[in-house]
Amino acid sequence: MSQEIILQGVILSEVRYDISSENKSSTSEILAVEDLKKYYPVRRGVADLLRRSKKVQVKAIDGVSFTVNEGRVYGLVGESGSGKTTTGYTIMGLENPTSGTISFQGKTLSAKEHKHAGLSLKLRMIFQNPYETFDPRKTLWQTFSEILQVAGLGSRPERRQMSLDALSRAGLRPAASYIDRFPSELSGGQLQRAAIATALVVEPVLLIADEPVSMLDASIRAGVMNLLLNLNRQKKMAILLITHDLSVAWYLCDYLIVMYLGRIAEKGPAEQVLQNPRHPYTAALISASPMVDKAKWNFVAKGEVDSNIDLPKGCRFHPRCPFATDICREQEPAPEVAGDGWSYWCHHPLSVQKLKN
Amino acid sequence: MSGSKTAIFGFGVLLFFAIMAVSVQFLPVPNPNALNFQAFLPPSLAHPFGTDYLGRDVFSIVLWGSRAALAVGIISAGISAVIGIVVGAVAAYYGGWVDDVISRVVDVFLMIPVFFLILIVVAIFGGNIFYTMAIIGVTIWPSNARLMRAQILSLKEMTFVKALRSYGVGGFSILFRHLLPNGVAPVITNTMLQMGAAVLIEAGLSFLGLGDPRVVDWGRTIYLGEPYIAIAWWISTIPGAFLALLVLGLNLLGDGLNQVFRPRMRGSK
Ligand SMILES: Nc1ncnc2c1ncn2[C@@H]1O[C@H](COP(=O)(O)OP(=O)(O)OP(=O)(O)O)[C@@H](O)[C@H]1O
Ligand code: SF4
Ligand SMILES: [Mg+2]
Repeated sequence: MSQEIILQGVILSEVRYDISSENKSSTSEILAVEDLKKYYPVRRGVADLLRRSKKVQVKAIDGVSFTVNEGRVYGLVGESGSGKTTTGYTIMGLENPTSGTISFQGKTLSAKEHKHAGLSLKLRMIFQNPYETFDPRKTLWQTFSEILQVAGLGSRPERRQMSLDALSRAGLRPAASYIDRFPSELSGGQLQRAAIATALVVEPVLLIADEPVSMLDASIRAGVMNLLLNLNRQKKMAILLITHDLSVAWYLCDYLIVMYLGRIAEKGPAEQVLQNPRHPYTAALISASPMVDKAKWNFVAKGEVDSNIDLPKGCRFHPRCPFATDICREQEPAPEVAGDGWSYWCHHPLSVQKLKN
Repeated sequence: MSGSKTAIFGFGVLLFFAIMAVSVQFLPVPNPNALNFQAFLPPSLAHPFGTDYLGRDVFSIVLWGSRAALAVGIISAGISAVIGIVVGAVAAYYGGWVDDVISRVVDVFLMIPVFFLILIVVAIFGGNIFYTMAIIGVTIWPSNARLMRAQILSLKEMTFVKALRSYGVGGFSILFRHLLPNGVAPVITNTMLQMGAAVLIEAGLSFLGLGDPRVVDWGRTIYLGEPYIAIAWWISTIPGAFLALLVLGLNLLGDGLNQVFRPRMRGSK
């Protein structure tokens, strides 16, 4: 690792697991997302209704494709509103896609299959806000018992033991002193661990973790990140990690999928993408991250994220991109291959030299 | 804190009447229907609240009348609560045309003057207290339905509902075991207020002469005592005061609960 990355005092380049050595052998594909789109209808002001303007939609996801392999960690990164959570919900079947397909373990999922309990054993999500993840009127035990009951696992005493184990593995120890509490009786960090335990208790094949550490204090972040890493390493659980924080992605991920306004800007092996980003948006995210050496990375994207109702024509990043030219304003870039499993969507890809001067 | 004090006071009043209603048959009071030849007796040791125009003991009428009052309150408001909760919850959770139909029905009910509707129905079917309870119950539920609907509409957007769905929990179970308990507090509050309202409606019907003659009833006693208010104030006034106390207690309980119930929710966005 040429670059030394420091996160909350931990030099990550030392502790970061190196996929190039041990984990090189390819694993089988478990999830394939193909040209996924999710548009929400929006009602704007009365004036728009009167003018009978054409149907207004939020393009939360606008044609996203990627695959997830068994036992790997994928980072879905991008600014707020780029469609990360919506992607997670759609994979989980919690939102119906406007178009596109989702295949899990070789099977294309329809809305019906998504509701099948068997799938909920293999596919789990940790939701963005731990304060809202639990029914406020149920104790942890009532929630866990229901999860296991729905999954058809265990007798009542067995379910209790399984719940205690999961809480304990998620770092709520002694679990017996937490299990009968209401969510309002836990701190944000404890709730986040309990949320992770809801996934642990069934050991899914794929875990979608939406901002699992963003609500946590720096002091407990590392613990939760290591917990996720252990799950991945020991249980071979694939993780789709949703985050806006590139230092978290850097620490945990084997692959990165960079999203901007509902589209993928760049995707590829985390190490390569982070060290040598091709898409200006990836570079902007890296520059904005506290982990980097500001002397080396002084690349800044102009302005704010555009509206995903009236998307910019051509490359949707062009209003903010310092390298934008006429072609960027007219034509959407086609995918280009930068390396093995690495592609980007940009007319004028970056090179390391371009960034450093 | 003051909310819980109000609720406790209201609950105390309710408890007082509940004990009265349950224990009245064991108390050494004369039969409230027994006539004697001493009409219009003012309050005395023998007749603490005096006697009415037929010489019936008003104290006994007040005690026995608590049964009818509480029964009307509990059954009418209970019917209203059950219908309102189920209808409102189903409308909000399933949405679409189900919601449209239910919401229109609720709007219609909320527009018509309920008391006159009840009055007409009771006038047609006669003063049977069970009909009265039922008709009150099935006409006052729309406010409960509207409260429940609003609660479920906001609750169903919460992340924990998505979480439950992701565990594979079914829609019926999510609605009735998770959303309903989280959203039912305002309906319970409203039910207390509706108990008071139902007691008043029934008393009002009795006061208009549409009460059930077989039942010892405060409203009818007030109605029958009213012509004699100048010569025997106690016949109407004392049962009226008890009626007012019960309704006040139920309203305080409702208001107090309203302040006490707070969702166990923090840090939501
Ligand atoms: N139910 C909905 N109805 C309408 N618009 C929605 C809905 N859900 C999401 N959106 C819109 O879709 C876009 C993407 O939202 P999403 O929550 O997926 O973003 P995100 O990348 O997870 O952002 P954040 O980092 O803030 O969580 C946003 O513009 C959002 O307003
Ligand atoms: S296509 Fe053009 S505008 Fe878009 S990111 Fe690349 S250089 Fe910038
Ligand atoms: Mg999100």
